[in-house]
Formats: sequence, C-alpha cells, structure tokens
Amino acid sequence: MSVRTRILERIRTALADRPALQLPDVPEPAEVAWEEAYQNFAQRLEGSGAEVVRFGSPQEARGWLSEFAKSFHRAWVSPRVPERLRPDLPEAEPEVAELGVSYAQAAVAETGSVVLASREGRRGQLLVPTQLVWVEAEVLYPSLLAALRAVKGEGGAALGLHSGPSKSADIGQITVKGVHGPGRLVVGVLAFARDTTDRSSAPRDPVQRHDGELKAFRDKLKKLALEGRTLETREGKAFSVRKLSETGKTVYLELGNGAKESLPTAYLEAAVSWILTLHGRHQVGPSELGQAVASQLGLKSSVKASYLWGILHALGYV
Amino acid sequence: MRVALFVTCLVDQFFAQAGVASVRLLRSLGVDVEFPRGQTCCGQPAFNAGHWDEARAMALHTLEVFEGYDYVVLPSGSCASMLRVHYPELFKGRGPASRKAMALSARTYELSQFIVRVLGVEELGQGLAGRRLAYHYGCHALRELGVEDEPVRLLKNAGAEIVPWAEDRECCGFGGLFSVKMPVVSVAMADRKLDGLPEAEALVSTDAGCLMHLVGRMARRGIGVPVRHLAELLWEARQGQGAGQTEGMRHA
Amino acid sequence: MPERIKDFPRASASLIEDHPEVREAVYRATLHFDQNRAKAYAEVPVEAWRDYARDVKAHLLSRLADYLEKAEARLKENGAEVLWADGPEDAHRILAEIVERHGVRRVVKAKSMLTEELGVNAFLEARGLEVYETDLGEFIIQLAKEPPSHIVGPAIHKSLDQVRRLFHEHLGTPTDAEPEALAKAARAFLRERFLTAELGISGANFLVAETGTIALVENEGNIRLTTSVPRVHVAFVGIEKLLPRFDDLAVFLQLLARAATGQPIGTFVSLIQGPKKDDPDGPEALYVVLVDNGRTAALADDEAWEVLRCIRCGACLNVCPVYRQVGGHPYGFVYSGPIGEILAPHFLGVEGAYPLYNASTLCGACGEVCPVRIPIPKLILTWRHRAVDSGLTAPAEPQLIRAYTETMRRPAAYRLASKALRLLPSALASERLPVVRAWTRYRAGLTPSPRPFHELWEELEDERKNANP
Ligand code: SF4
Repeated sequence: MSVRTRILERIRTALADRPALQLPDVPEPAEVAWEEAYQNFAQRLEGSGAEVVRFGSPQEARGWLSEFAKSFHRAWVSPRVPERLRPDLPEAEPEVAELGVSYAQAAVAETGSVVLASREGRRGQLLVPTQLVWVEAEVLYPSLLAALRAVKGEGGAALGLHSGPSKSADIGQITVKGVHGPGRLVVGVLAFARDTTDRSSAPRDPVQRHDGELKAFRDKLKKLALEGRTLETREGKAFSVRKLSETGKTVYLELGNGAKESLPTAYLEAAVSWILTLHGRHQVGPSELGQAVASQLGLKSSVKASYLWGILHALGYV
Repeated sequence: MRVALFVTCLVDQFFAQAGVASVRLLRSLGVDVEFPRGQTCCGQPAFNAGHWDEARAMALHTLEVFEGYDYVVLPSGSCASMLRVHYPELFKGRGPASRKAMALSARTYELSQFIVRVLGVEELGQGLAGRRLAYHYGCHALRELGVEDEPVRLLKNAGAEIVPWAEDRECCGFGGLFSVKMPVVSVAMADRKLDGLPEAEALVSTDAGCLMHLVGRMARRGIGVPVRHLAELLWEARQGQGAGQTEGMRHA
Repeated sequence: MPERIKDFPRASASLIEDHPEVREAVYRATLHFDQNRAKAYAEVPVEAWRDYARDVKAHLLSRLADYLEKAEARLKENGAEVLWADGPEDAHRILAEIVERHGVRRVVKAKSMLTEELGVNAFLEARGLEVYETDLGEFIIQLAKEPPSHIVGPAIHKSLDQVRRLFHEHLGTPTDAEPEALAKAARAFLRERFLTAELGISGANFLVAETGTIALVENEGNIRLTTSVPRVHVAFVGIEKLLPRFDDLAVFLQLLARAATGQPIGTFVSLIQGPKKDDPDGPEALYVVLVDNGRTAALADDEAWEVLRCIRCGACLNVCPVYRQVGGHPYGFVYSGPIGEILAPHFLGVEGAYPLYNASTLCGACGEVCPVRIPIPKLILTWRHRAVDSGLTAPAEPQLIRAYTETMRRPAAYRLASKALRLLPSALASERLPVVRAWTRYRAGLTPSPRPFHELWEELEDERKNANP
C-alpha cells in the first residue's frame, strides 16, 4: 500500500464516526471609498517603514521619477512597467541593480500591501536594495479579500505581497531593515485616471465588479427610459433614453434632431464599474470614460462616449 | 432566597477571617446566608492534577451538600470556577449527577460577582477612603469566571485607590500541585509578579490559593506588604473608616 | 528526545538559576510580542475572526481526506509534483531522490518547524550537502548549533552580545558590531548562498485546496528568495495546513500575523502557484511533500484532535507565564510552551511527553489568545488525566490524593484533620514530607488561622441572633 493510500485511509477511519462540520462563509469586509482606502494604505505602509508618494497627474509622477532616479546608477525595471513610468537609468540585472521598479498587480489598503506578479521576474523584486512599486489607482483594493479575488489565478507562477521593507528583530530584539529583501520600499500611487492609450506594455488590470451597485444602476436606467427626460452631452447636445430592449441589453436613444442611436448596456456597466473602482473619482470626461470602457471590454471601435457620459452624468455617476 | 456560603477549604483553614467577613458583609446587605455544615473541598487540586475519579468523589459530596440552595457564594475565584465551569464537564453524560452539576453551576458565584451581579450592589460604603491597594487578578476568576472589574469596582467605590501594577493580571505561579512539582518555575513566576509590585498598603485578591502562594514567597523574600483577602476589605468598606482591622494571613 | 523531555523540571530550574540572561531575553521578547498582539487584536473584529478561523479549520479537519485529494489534484494541474511522507524516513528518502535527480550540493532553507520535526538538516548534512538556514534567527542558532527556542522567533533567547560573539567567530565581524552591521554580514554571506544553491527548502503556512496555492509568511524576504532563486523548490507541508478556499487566506493571513507579531500582515507573503511557467525566473521544479508524522493519530483522538487547528503563530508561547521564565529549550521538544505541551503527547505518546503537560498553572492565558480557539488548558487537563490513568505520576501522588479525597468526602474526618493541623502546628513545616519540602524550600511555611472558619460559625450565628432578637 502506498504512503498516500495509508495516510488517506487512516484519516477516513479516524473520521468515520464524526460528522462533517459546517464551513462558515468568508467574512465580507465593509466597502470603503477610494480616498479612505488610500489613507489606510498609506498609513499602514508608512507604519511598517515604507515610503508612499501620491501623484495627481502623469506629469507629476514623471517629474518626481526623474528626481528620484538621480540617486541611483542602474535599475532593473519590470517589463510590465509602462514606458512613461520607467526611470531614465541604464538597465541592469537584479543582482547588481541599485533600484528595482515594479508595477503592482494589485494593492491592498487593509494591510498596506502591494501584490507583485512573478510574471515580472522575481529576482528583480527581491535582490535589489531599493524597490519602487507603481500602483494604479484602480488596482488599489480596500480589503485583502477583494484584492485576492481580483488576482486569483493571475500573475504567473507566484504572487508576492510586499508590505514594507525587509526587516528582522532576530538579533537581540532590535529591528533592522534590509536583511534579505529590499531594505527600502517606495510606493508611487498614481491617483489619477489612467491614460488608457498607453496600455501597450501593461496587461489588463482587474476592475472590480460591483454587482449590488450595478443592479441599482440598471433600475435607475429603466426609470430614466420611462421618464423620457431630456439629457445632455457635455457639449450640450440634447438627447433622451427612448427605451431599453426586451433583454435589457441595449439602450435606445433619441437624439435632439430626431435621429436614433443605440448603445449596449454593457458599455454603461463597464463605465460604472470603472468609476466605482476609482471610488469617488467622478471628475472624468467623455473621452477618458470612452477609453476606459474600450480598454476594459477590449474594443477598438467607438463606444459613443458622449452619450455614455451624458447618461452617467444624469444619474450622478460623473 | 436561600443563599449558601461555600467558604472553601483554604479560606476555612488559612483565611478564616475572610469567611467571617464574607458572612458579616452578606448579612449587612440583607442576605441571610447559611453555612451548610458538611462542606469540605471542591476537589480542584485533584482535578487539576488529573485525578478525575477522586475529583468526582469530592464533587459528588459537594453537589449533595449544596443541593436546594438558590445561590452558592464562594470567597474564592478558582473554587467558584471549579463548580461553575468544571463540574459540568466532570459529570458530562453521567445522568442525574450531570443534571445536578449543571444546576449547581448555574447557581454558583464568586463573592464580588454575587454582590454586583445578583444583588445589584456597587456601593458598599466609604470604609476604604484613602486606602492604597494593589489588586491581583486571579487567573481563574479572570479568565474562567469572567470576574474582571467587579472586585476593583467595589473597592474603588468604597474610596480605595487601586495602584497601577503592570503585572496585575499575571499568574502568581501557584497552580495547585504545580507549585510543588515545579517549585523553581513557580516561584520565578511569583517573583516576576512581585518585582513590579508598587508601594501599597495591602495586596488584595479574591483567590485564597494565590494569596497563600504570594504570602509565602513575600515572607521568604522579606517583602512587607500585607496580603489581604478581598472579603475582608469589602467588609471594611461596609463598616466605615478605621473599623474592623481584620487579621489577614499570617505566616511562619 | 523523550529523555530530554523527562528532564524538564530540572532543566527549567537550572535555566532559571544559572542563566538569568536567557530568562531576561525571553521575558522581554515575549512580553513585547504579546503587547503587540493585544494591540493588533484590538484593531479588528478579532472575536468574529477567531470564531471563523476555528470553524474553517474544524470543517477542514472533518473532511481532511477529501481536501487533501483536492489539493493534490490542483497542485498537479499547476505543475507541481506531490509526494507523501508518513514520517522522517519517508521524508529523507524523498529528499535523497530529489537531491540525486537535480544534482544538488547546496541547500538554502526557509524557517520551517516541520523540517525540524523531520530532522531535515542533519540528514542532508550527513550526506555531505551544505545546508544554510536563511532566516536570521535560524541562522544564528544554526551557528550556535542549537534547536529553535520559539516557533516564530527561534533565537529570542540569545542576547545581542551572544550574537556578536557568534558572528565574530563565524563571519569575522567586530566584537562590538551594531545589529545593522551584523545583519549586513549575514545578508552578504547568505546572498551568495542563495545565488548558488540548487535547492530551496521551505515549509508552508497554508495550502489552499481549491487552487493548490502554497502560502508562506515572513518578514525578511528569505522565504521569497528560497522559493524563487534556486532551480528546485521543495515544500514540506503538514497535512493539517490546508485551507478550503483561496478566499480563506484573507482572514488567515491577517490573523496569523496579528497573533504572531502584531503586524497587520507578514512583510512578505508568497502565494506559490506552481513551478515557473511563462515567468522570466523561478524554480523549474516544485515538489510538495505532504507529511503526516503523527497528525493522523492526533486526528483520530476524539478528545484531543483540536490541537490540529494550530497555525503555529506562537501567541500561546508569548503569553505563557511558564514559557516566559524558561524559553523553549528546557521543554526538550521541537515545540515548546502550551502548544508543545499538547502536541508532544500526540507525537511521542502520553508517556514520552511526560511531564511536559504538567508545566502549566492552568492560568488560561493561552486559550484566551489562540487565534483558532484551541482549548489549550482543557487539552492540558486531558493529558494530565491520561497520565494519571497510565500510572505515570510519582507513586506518592495517587496515595496522597486518595488520602486527601477520603478526608474531604467525610466532614467528620475533615474536622478531625483540621484539629490535627492545629494540634501539630509543625505539620505544615515538616521537612520530611517531600511536598512540604518543595514548598518551604522557596516559600515561608504556612500557619493556619488560629481557629478554622467552621468553628467560628456558631459565634456568627449568635451574633445574628443578638442583632435580631
Ligand atoms: S496553539 Fe493557538 S496560539 Fe498556540 S501556536 Fe497554535 S495557533 Fe498559535
């Protein structure tokens, strides 16, 4: 009999007269708005000795990066890092690089963690003395549970959660940093809607599903169709939602000039999900919105962004 | 309401005045407390050392002695916990004894717990005004019975100041037979606790076992702080200033 | 091992009397851990989490065979090779084959209590391999040739000065080097080993059955390196380490860190999903060894199986007043403190583990902090009871307890004994009784109250009658 069979048999015998016990549901953490999530994230990370920098625009991030890069000579940069976020430094192997730059698969506010994918290369995340990790606003999850759900099965053979610089208190209970992994962790949070045209080098990142909120959104949409209110695009063009298709999958519009248009509900839902993931980042224009939807759904064609924006604006999402 | 005092063997033998104080205190609160004559020991020392048959024999005796009372009150946290927590386990699946154990468990209270939770009394008097006391939270009272702030609340409400003591919730190292099976570890624990003992007029607890251990170690180390049972102080609280200097625990 | 266990009373006493510096180091470290834990617990809905964690583990154990099969299937799908070990011999045979197959000469190890159980280091070294513990604490005790004294902080018993001396001897650092410099020296030394070792050996904190994910938690980054850099990774996983769902990691990772060190989460968490696939680096081969080593026997124990819920956080050690005086070494077993007391008898039998489970006052502090709510004091009592049933106690003890019981069952006998106590006041100081001797050697003898309470009762009755005539 194989060891495997023996062990399994012993277990089955041991459990023969014992009832299977109930598996409890996983505790669902409370939803947290993006700004609060960011605060938690920064506070936790700083609490464990990391540095957190927040950027309101791509220019700001870029400017900071060129300053930051000055104190290093060579860097290892993850292939996942988009062009605009790569330091202007000669690239080097992780064994000799002074700086490693990673692009987070996800980030966790609750625990102050960045989630790094092995697809980037793990040595570059571990052997460098200083690590810079970019976090896009939309991959910052309020809870560990939400982040784990988003990255489940993603990222390659292994994921690493980094929640601060490497440390140890094994020598006389005195904390020292940089024992094996990076002794300095800098996290750059890109707290602006992503420039979705620059996605070439970055794989698609997860946008959270907000099923409860989406249901509410569909109800609001139905109501809008019933009321037949006049809506406006940001450019001031009037239009209205005429009706929803039988299946609810298409929204039919009537434009000011009497022309007819249609819009897949999926576009609207993708836009809502994206907005909610950004938690309170309502200041988006039609083109940004359109790009986000297109990139999320993998579309190349137009998503009729101006009407999309008009509807979401009327319902208070933007 | 029929209330029985289970004075416990340790208080009976070594803290007799705490028993006296318990009776006077309860009477002063309108409780006509009875003292069932057949009572001896709850069986805890045997139980904790793993001698469950013997523990059961003593527990059966105790179940009999305290049958028919509405409440059984003990001036001892760990003995109360023996009745309350461990009797039902000891007699699990043993028919009538199990039912009796459950019934007794539900009626069992440590003294301060009985005063606060059953009698609803939190103000005993002002007899401890200006007294500075160190309080030791006995482990079983604290963790098994959930007696946490009752004793301290009663003392404070009577005007006593409870001096801060970082180790006030640490185990004193007694542990029944543990104290003689592993005496060096046992006193090391007591010493840890006592090293941080702040200046106080008395060291107080509701557990005779702990007090016995601490008093023995303090005497050996020449620490002069008197050790007093909670019951005595609560009776002083009731009486008013200066009255009722009770004897406390003595040592050789 | 059992021989050393038997020695606990003497070893613990001599540690206290002869090594005050160890007692001091352990006390400070554990107090610090425990204070951090208390703070960290207070920040989250910890009671609900503990209920949940207890129930998840209880459920898992109640369906363990199914979950193991599921985990095995997922691991294989992920490209790992799964092996099973009953105990050390199987584990050694498996390792020998892997070493052979991959031409391994150098091994880096991540801290793993299970590999301590299995004697992995000694086995590999005996075969002429170089084995390096890479956790700084483990590295220190490897240099000192000692076993770990704590499941989370293996070197907490070592003072800074002791580490300085060790590093001076082995790494050539100055005798007054600061902790940073010492850490740097260890880093440089081990970095070279990481980059040249062919094999990385780790344990596992969790193995998710749903996805075949191995979760490892640490603060230094050495586990990430051990499992990322060498070409081959072997993970030893105790069969009780499973979790049913990937989502379960969310609470377990946080609860473990909060219980162990008071952190919101371990600084580094590795979620390993298989050997390298389309990744630029990482091990080419992953072996997962599922180990029993006494666990199925524990599972079969209707009264004491709950110990298998343990997630090895060390919180019970940190809060244990006995452990705090003596640290882990006097226990003479891989696991020390409260968890050691209730694990040892499963591994070594009630006799082999005697008298570890007597090393407790039953103060209950461990049960109060355990993140998976193992009723540790209750299990200690269970083993004590079994020890008595197996006749393991000193012969005088049952006699003494029987005599005591006979006295206490008869009120008349009790009264008589009470009188005798006062007639022979020296009884309690009689050095002839070993029990008394053990008491009076360290504490003042006891004097009974002049009259026992039961003799004062009549007077109290009179007092009452006089008050209400
Ligand atoms: S028994 Fe509980 S407290 Fe102790 S190590 Fe295991 S999980 Fe942690």
